Amino acid sequence: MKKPTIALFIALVFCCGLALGENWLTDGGDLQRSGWNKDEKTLSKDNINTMKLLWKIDTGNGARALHSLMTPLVVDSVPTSSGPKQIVYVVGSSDNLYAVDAKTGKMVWQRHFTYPAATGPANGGFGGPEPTDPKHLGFLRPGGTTDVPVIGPPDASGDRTLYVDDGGGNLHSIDITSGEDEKPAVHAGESKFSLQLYNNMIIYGAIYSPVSTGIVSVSLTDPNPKPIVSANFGRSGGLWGRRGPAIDSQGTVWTTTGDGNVDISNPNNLIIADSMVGFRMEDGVWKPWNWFTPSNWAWLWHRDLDPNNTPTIFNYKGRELMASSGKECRVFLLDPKNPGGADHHTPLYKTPLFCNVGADFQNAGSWGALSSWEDPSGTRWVLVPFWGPPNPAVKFPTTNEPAAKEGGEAAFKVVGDASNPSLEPVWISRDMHRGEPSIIANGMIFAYGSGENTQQAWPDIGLNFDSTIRAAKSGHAIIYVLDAMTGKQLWSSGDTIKTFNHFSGITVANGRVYLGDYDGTLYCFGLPSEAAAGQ
Amino acid sequence: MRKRFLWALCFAVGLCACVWAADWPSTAGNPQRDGWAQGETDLSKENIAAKKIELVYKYKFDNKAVGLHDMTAPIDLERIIGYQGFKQLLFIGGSSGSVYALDSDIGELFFKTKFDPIGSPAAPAAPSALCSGGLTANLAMPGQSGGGRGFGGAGRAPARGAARGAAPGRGAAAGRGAAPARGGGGGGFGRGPAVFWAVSSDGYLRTLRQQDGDATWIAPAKFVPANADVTGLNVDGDVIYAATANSCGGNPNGLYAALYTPPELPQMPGEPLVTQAKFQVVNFMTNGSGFSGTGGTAIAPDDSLVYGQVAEGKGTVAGTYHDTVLALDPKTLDVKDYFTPSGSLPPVKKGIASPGVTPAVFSWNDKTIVVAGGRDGRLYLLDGSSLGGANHRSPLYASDPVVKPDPHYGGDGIWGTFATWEDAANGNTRWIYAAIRGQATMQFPASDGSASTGAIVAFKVVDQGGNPALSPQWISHDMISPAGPVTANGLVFALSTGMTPRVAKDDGTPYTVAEEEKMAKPAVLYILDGTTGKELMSSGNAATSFSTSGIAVAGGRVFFTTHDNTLYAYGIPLER
Repeated sequence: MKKPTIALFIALVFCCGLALGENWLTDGGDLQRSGWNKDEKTLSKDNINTMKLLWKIDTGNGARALHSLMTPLVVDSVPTSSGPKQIVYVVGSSDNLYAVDAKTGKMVWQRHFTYPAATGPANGGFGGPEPTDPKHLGFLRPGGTTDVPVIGPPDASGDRTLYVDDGGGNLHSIDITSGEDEKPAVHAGESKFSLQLYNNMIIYGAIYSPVSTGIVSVSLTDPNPKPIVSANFGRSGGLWGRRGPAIDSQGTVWTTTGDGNVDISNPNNLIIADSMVGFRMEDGVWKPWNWFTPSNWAWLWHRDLDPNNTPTIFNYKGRELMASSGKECRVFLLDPKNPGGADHHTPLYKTPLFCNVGADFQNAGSWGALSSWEDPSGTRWVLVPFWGPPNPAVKFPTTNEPAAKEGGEAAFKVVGDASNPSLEPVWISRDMHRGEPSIIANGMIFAYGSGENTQQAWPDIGLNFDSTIRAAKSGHAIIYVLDAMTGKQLWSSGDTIKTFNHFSGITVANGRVYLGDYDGTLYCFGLPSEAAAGQ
Repeated sequence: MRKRFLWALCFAVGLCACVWAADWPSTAGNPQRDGWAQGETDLSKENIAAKKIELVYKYKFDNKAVGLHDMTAPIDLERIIGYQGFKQLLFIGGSSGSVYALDSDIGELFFKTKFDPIGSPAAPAAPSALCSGGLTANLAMPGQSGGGRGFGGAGRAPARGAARGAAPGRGAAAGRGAAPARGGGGGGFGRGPAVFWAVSSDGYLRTLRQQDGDATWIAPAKFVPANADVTGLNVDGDVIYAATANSCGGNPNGLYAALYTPPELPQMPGEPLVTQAKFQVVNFMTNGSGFSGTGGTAIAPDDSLVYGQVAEGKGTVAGTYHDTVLALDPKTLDVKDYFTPSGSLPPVKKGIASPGVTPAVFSWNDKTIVVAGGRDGRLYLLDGSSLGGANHRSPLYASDPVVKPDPHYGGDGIWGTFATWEDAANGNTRWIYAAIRGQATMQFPASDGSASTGAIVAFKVVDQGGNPALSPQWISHDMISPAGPVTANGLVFALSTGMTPRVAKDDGTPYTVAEEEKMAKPAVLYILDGTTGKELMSSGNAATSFSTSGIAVAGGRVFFTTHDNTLYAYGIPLER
């Protein structure tokens, strides 16, 4: 399976000074889910206006509900029989994994996962028979494979392993060169969101899994691994955060929890919904270690405004901080060592509502994940995507045009002493139809509006989970590149992307920008010179 | 399939824990008119003692009172997954012809729907104390006041309040039969058109979407005569009931039923209905007075019969009505059974209100029991399946007079609606509460002070040789013309309406609207201990006008309206 050329190739790299490109091995780029690609140098403010579509490929993945292509990952210099390649790995919701040549847009290999059909109610329990076309499935339980994989470090021979949890809850260890399983898959339960690789464990949050509710991990060193599940964590709101859990310097695994009750009276069955919960491994299981519950959790529950996006963790003046947000549309600054104080309700700082004044669970609020970076002057920034219009009562010194109405990105600076940090609004982007989690690279923000219709209930037909309704009413995704300091638009993809994007993410690596859409097409944008290189 | 769908939602909507609805969908909370807000946890003795219950907000509507009518008592949809988000909505009718929806969490207007008259209805006469004209009936929608969307039992979510701990499951709706809501109830937990109903002064049944109040999507249907005085609407499944009273507009009194065939919805929003809604209207005329009480009718838990009480009139089956409790077929309104109490009763005088209370239905020892009140001041317990036995005159139990009829237009008697609940924590003891006007004649073991004007009285249902009987328990302190009580979580919610308890002047002529308004006192809400009758809290002088409506309890809050078109909401403030 391992190619004999790998060792030689690695030797050449290190002995001969062959330049290695950057890799994007996990959603958000790191354990902290910063979304910051520190290594990107090809794309710059000086040349970004020349960026164009380099290629697109119809992967053939059929959407399940609204899900299609998940966030791409990138590995440079993957040894292949035709020489080292930069390869893009992307999961398709219909249980597919694709490896695409980053330079040519040609398929290198693809996998299709099969597993016994789920035994649950038809149509995810949304009424009626199982639809023959998976596009009609309910968007909250699309089934299929919807996690973002994680790619491990090179082994002694320079090869890497990609870990992906298929729709049947089977964790695969896949050789990135061949696409083949390196060892039998481990049945660990489904992960709806991104995987983490930490301390020789694959870690994720389980939502629907019959294996566990809470954090689940699988050891990569155990020859006969069994999933390690959570204890003392009662069932209430599911684990959210599109980029999956974030992990701090202490090894605490942080996740947000969806709508539900809060009842901490029983330490053996902690009900901690609408919160940011940190899990630690104790006695061989994952246990809730500490948490922050907004003091208005009952309101959040009442209105389905849970803090549903992945937090981001960073250092600020020598202190580790965590920023989180959600559908309510505040940003919290938390100390991962003591996130909510003695009462679990006291953050270091919280912003006023910067959007979602109408308390709408479906078309407003912050969704997905926060991002963070530090500019050359040492200023720490937090970037928050949002849907719907911003709160006019919260003043951002810079408001870009056309004014955000359907969503956008909001940028905050972390200010104050490390002992008393706060967030200062700096800029708000132009309008984007449903602002999605962004990537920071080389002083620029790579953001996008998904173009998705996010309405779940209508005045006439009420609540309806048939995903084709939303699909029919959706537009198309548009990538925007913004100046990270001002939010000014530097470039956009215009009408290039033909359909919308649902609950996925944008990737920037080695001078290329990737985004998949509902139709299963993976788009790659880059500089014209890169197009020539690929031809 | 529906149940499966709902369970799926438990794991679905926002990946949230399932939130169980506890609505207040019609007068006295449900089609059975039992006045019991099951599953309520926030409104508790502990939270009252901790002074957590307070006036959360009041809201002044732009309605104009018509005669004595102003705002109807609210109905409450605890949770709608709406096109603008999750909301708890209060639906309230205004006498001048509009329906309002308030965002109940924050007391802000969500929508207002104005009804334009259809055709050329007869102009209403000048408002009198009994016949105001305008929109008179409480609104109604399908559902129950405790898990009525058909999926109760598994850890209902508390509506609000901090660190309350896990709410216990409520189990099957004890004593009520837990009939699931049908016909588009559920405010979003369903795929049918979620609607509620109002009756406008032109006599049309208006079908409003819960989502946005649109009343044109389903065409209005002619239902009752224009300018009729409609008491509380009732809805059971796909049938809407409207009782008329007081011969307003010169119309005879009776009961109207609209058999509703829901429209077939389009697959895509914004498209025309696939099939239109249909209404088939039938009626039952009393040939005398209207249906007693503010609730109009009560419906058996198994939907098999509709109960109502008629003070005077006549029919082919039951003969002369004399506080007769009728059991009607739910779709044809044919009389299936009846009970007429023995003994003499004071006459019903045209143009003057008589004491009257709408029967309530509950389960006791696997029997369906109907509790009714007579103008003789007695309470009757009837077998729901055989109201008066073979001779139609034999109740299961008749109490001594609780309050004596007043021949001098004092209005003494039993009024409004009942409240009844089953105390599962104490041997499934069944309690019944009633609102009386006048001095009680019955002795109660406990009282909370003198009560010469009016009061709430409490009884336990006890087993007497296999039949139910009533054991007096307590009488509250004095209240002015109390509205029908409501019970929840071991508490009794009572509203001293402030309306004059007298129904006419000494010479027997009715009061004018202006005279009624002048004599009235501000309404006061009281929360009583359900087992002792002791006052636990009151609204004091918060309200500045009297009330002509009633109480609603849902989602941790208690609501009432006053004649100055103001809604008052009490509960635990919700941190936003």
